[in-house]
Amino acid sequence: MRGHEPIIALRQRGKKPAMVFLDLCRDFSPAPMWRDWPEVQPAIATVWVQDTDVPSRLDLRFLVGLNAVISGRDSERVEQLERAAIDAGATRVIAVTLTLDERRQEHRVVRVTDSAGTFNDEPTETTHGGDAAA
Amino acid sequence: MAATLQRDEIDFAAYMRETNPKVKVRAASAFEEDLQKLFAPKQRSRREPVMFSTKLAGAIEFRPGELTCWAGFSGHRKSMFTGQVALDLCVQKQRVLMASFEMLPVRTLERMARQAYGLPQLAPATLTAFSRWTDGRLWMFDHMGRIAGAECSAVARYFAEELDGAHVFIDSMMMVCSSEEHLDEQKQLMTDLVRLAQETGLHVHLVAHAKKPGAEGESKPPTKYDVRGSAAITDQAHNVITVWSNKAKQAALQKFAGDEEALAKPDALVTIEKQRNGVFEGRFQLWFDEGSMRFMNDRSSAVEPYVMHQESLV
Repeated sequence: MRGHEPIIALRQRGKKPAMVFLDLCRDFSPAPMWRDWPEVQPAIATVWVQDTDVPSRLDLRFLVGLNAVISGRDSERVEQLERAAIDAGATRVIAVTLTLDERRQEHRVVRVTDSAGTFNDEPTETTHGGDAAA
Repeated sequence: MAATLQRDEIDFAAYMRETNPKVKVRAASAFEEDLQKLFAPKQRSRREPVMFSTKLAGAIEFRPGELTCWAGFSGHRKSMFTGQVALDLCVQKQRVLMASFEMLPVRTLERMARQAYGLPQLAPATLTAFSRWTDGRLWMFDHMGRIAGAECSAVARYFAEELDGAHVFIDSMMMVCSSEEHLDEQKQLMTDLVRLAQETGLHVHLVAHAKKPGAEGESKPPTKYDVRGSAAITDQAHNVITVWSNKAKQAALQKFAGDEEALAKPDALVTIEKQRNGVFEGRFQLWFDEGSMRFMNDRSSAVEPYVMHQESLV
């Protein structure tokens, strides 16, 4: 897991980001945003959950009281991370499972769950660009 | 409207302190995924990279997220040996960074080119082919002399994150830590490098020196307890491998080049002193071919050039 340490540092100073993106795919943040977010957009944190990370064993305490958006292509890992984020005390968790349209090089939303119930299962929008930075 | 940082209503420092024990005690079943991976049969294509050119191939894999300490007395061909390890990794399409602070990049490349082709002298066209072949496999850190630990870590991190690197060779620790007396500095560097490896998946190869030999001189190979500096070096490393050169053999051959008794003896002993995530610990005898600077499994084998197609396979 990368990019979470600045959140902890921020919160230890009495501040918090408005939102935390938890990306299960590195190419979702080609910049990479998990490294650059404190400079680029300090109120919107990005955390990269690496392939080798086991979601249920991650220390996600930095999410307590925060809003989190999870995205990934492996629905099982998305669900595991969603459960872990809720268990860690996140205020609201939106989990998005995506699929890559190889032909158009675009991601399409296949499933959305929202712990607040607002966005549950409305798969419509194309969200992310291609895989070029993978 | 751009989002802004908000005031945190939670006393986060206190929350972290209070919840620390809870987050560290886990049900054993939480480790099932890792346990499954550990017992899953390894496919040939999914093996971790090895030093295929010597007997070490079957003894140790250079797994992601680990740190290997290569130790030995000064002048015992540690850098030459690790150069051959790096070359083997490149053949396996691993992305390798050589950070040699004691030698110019071109000297490191000269050795590796000779080892690759098994020859003492190489034609311009061969050197061009070698240079092309290294593209996408081998990078050189263009710096000689001392370097701060933080900068060394930053370079390794850059290589892992920006260039998708897999292996970094740091040669040597003596050039990173300001003094062998500063044990805390060495401990900090080891902690940083091990953490870096775990975070990035990089395999860090760290060359360290052995203490100056005692009354026995250099006649006896060093052990992991002979590594110069803080005990943290060998304690924190996942693997410790010593490289020892048979100086007595070299001396005997200088007196009489045809000394059969000396020729039969190995030129080097390479010992896996510690392997945290592997089974084998033990010693290998190797022979050295002066012309190609290549370490060989035995005295009689011919020094063959490496298979170095663009899509080279072991």
